[in-house]
Amino acid sequence: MNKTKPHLLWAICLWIGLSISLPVQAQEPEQVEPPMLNALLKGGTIEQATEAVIRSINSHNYSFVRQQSIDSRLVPQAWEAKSVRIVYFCNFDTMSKALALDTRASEFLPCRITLIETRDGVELMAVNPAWVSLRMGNYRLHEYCLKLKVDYQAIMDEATL
Amino acid sequence: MKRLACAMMLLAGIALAHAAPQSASRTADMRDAVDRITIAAENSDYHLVKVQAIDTALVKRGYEDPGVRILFFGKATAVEQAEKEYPPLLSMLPIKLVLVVRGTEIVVISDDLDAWKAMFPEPAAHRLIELWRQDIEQMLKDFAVP
Repeated sequence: MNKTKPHLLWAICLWIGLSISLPVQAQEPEQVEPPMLNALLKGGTIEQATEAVIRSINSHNYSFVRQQSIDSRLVPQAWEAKSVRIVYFCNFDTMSKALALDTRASEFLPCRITLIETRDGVELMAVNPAWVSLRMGNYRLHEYCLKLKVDYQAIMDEATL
Repeated sequence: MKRLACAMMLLAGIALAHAAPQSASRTADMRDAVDRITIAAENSDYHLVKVQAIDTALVKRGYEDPGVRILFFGKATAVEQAEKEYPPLLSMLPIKLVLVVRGTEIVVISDDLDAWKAMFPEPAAHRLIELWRQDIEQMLKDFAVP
């Protein structure tokens, strides 16, 4: 009996530990998604990159919502950072469907791409919606996010061609 | 040793299970909730930089009202700190809070900042994210005060 006790204790702890963490762990299927989506426009300016991103958004059936400096409305307009901009866009039809599936979809809505001017050009960054949805554990929302990720990549790739 | 391992496993399990966005709620309509969370943000030196009225935008286009509105809050020092200490975090700013209608209440939900920590595992990023997490916590507390 004394020999089996530590094993029993270990098994109970394992069961409790797994039962607490399993709902979260179960949200992470075998798929691996990168958290961020990146692209680089070599040698371009941030103005050129912003224009290219907006053109690409329109050509991929999304609506351009707005673009702004990272510190817009936080500092006087003349002092706004020139080297970091955010471009917002959306597709109303898919946005409505995603929110109907799960209001947590708002975590990656509206779509946005951040542009940062560096010495090498302009870096485009966006949170990968499929990485976010994997953590949420809603399979149907994840399917939508996989499509959204492909669109993000296509938009960023076209803008940096 | 085994007991220590058990305890650590339990703690890890509990920590994972609790990783979730921060939230707060109060009885209010959307307009009142926007005003209250804006005041709460101002108390923490954050400013409302944009209201993304998804609810009215969708209804205007003939879609169902999702009862969701997104607010963006910014602070100049947060931008400066991110730019200086960990530029990839700029892609997470301005901070976003989502207002969701739940019956007679409005629930304000933040992004999942634990997810951000997983996204940016470097200590410099964690330090900033933790600062922002505390700011959001204070805003939500102020919002929920009767």
